[in-house]
Amino acid sequence: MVTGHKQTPVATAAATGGPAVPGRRRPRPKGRRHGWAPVMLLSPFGLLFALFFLLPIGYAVYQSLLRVHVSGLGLGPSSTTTVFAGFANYTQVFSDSSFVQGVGRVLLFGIVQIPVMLAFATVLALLLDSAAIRLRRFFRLVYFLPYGIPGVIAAILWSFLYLPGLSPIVATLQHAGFGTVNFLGSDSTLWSIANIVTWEYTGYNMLIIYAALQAIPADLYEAARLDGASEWKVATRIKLPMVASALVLTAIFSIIGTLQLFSEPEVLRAVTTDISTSYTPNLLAYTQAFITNNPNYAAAIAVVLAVGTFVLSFGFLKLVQRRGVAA
Amino acid sequence: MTSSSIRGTGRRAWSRRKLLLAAGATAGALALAACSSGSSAGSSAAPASGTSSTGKVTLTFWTWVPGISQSVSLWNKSHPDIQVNVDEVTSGNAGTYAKMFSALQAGNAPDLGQVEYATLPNFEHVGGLVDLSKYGAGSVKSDFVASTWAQVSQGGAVYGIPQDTGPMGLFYRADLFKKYGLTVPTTWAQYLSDAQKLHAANPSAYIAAFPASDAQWFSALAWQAGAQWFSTSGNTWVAGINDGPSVQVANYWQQLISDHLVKVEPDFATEWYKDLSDGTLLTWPTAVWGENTLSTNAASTKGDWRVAAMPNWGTSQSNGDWGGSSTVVFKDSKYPAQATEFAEWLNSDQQSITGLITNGGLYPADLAGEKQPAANSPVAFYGGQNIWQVFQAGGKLVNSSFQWGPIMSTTFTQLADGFGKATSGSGTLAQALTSTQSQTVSTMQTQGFSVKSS
Repeated sequence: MVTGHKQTPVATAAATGGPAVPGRRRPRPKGRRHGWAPVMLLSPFGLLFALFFLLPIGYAVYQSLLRVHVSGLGLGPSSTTTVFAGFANYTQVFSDSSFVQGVGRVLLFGIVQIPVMLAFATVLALLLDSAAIRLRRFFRLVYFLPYGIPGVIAAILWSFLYLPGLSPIVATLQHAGFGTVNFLGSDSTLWSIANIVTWEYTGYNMLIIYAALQAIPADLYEAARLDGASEWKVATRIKLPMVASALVLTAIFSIIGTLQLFSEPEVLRAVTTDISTSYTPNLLAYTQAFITNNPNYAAAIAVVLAVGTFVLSFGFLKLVQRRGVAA
Repeated sequence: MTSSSIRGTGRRAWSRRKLLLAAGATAGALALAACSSGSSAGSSAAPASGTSSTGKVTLTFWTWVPGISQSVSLWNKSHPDIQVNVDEVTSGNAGTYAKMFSALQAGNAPDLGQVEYATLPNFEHVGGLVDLSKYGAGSVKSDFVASTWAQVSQGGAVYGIPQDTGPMGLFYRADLFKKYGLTVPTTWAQYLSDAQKLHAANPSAYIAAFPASDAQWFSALAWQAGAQWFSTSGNTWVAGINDGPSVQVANYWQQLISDHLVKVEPDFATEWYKDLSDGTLLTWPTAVWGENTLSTNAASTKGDWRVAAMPNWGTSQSNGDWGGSSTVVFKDSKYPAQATEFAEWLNSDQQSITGLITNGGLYPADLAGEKQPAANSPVAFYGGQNIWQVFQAGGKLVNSSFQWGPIMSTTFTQLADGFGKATSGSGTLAQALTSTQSQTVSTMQTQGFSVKSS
């Protein structure tokens, strides 16, 4: 639950909430009917799914339709009331320039960062999978290690590498005659964040692709070699097409994660004045909910964001399925 | 969201707090889908007020001042019938305000709470606070620094008892001023010429940092210049965030930024601490509690810093205030009279104040408290200067007509974002003031407030 990219709130909620749910009594034998079995087997999941997923979302949608209304100076007990606002909060979201800018920013981020990260991950997975590699388990662990570091800690760690007065990188570049490189300037901040995210998640995505590579039957390679295929040909003609569905999966995870970008910019906000409180849509929702006490508007942003993520993820899936890439 | 809440309560380990803040923020974002008003109060928020058969009253108090429970236990010993339970919470902007707003909506807010002056009107307009004047709070008015009392009262109503205050002063590196041949400025014009002289002597040293994301710092400077960001006229708010004095201050700092005489960087950040320690920054115009920030985060500069009165605009002496908070009674309290009695005692009893100064690092809003040895003795870190006297005098100069608006957290956020843009090269600080003014007015209008521009 630490990083914005791990999309497992439901699983976690179910895992932690499980024991608390009272066990249902097994029905008496004479009442046993065929139709009950699926209901019984599904009910623990259904109950938890409703309790920890549907209900909170439903409540957020409900909250997003309300609005606080103040009259006059807003002083005194009865001057502030909560009223039904219809879609007013949603109209505000789409006309909010900071929201639109934030969406634009994460889209630009995703268009550049996701392909770069997945290319890295694929290359690393192919290298690990190639016959020539030594110390395979060691390298697999090393590549995966950054994912084990919570996103917030990673961002703090990287912030020290970016700050001009503290960073050995900046100092080295300075000595090498590149001048003072500003990693946290208005042009570079977004890409400094992209670098952190790439560092964090390349290993994770590599592991998914690597697992797909491991599942390819060995006789395919054998057949290819008998036909005289080089390692390069094996990689490009057999391995890559066979792991295409894993690539689609990692791409979808990455799209979701990008739209949810939060902890890295939030941490870096403390060290650069260049990141506004509405830098990403998630940051804007957070600010509205917890800083400016406007939970109804924050709920509307969250719902828009959730729908947007859904549309983009499934849109991507449909796109690749139509082109016949995903098996 | 940075840090404003701590300002009233000096003694903290900053870097650690930032870390916790960030961690908390992440958790908050993940919980966002499930975010709801009313459900986040948690078990600790349960109304703890209650009487036992003996007529004993128990009050709950949400506060983040370190070591405040020692002062409270003094009260509990001498008031067996009114027992106060301290619930130590994270600082206001780090989550406690959100929790308080939720609890108010759910009807289970605690009896007492800690609220900063700038956030008081926000709680007033949701009807969350008890008017303490109904319980005789008006009688203690003369115990407190005038500007603090002005911030807790609205017309005849009193919404909190002042606890601490943050009059501004100029912290400066005496050793480096001597080295560069600078004079300690008494006016902002002199401050500017010092900055130019310093820049000519050493381009990598700066007179100060400009913390673009810290709108509260700027508000204290505008306050000093005579800004009137908010006022009321009948049943209407009058907003003037881009009024003459504010624009004057903005243009002044814009010149310093454009001429590279100040370093644009966030305050209370690692790099900033380093710059304060290694002589990159020569001054820090800040509130009294900055004393502790410096001595803990720039410990290696012991003996090098001194404090002078804030530079002034022209001949008239005036000052601004940064930070400070009050003790409030929430609407859900069943025992507002007892809670008021406690709030008055906590912030005006001299023994209690001693505890707040020494354990909490607060500079008291209580006039007698400011004369206590704990807040009125030479400080070794400042070369044995009795820096408190600068602030005692400065506190009396704070303009009492300055008023906070009802949605300050929004205003501060808009201003910080605007300043961030301006320092990244798009627009000026003065333009950021103008856009904040129009955004604040339109946000207030959307919410239904009656508001106009000054």
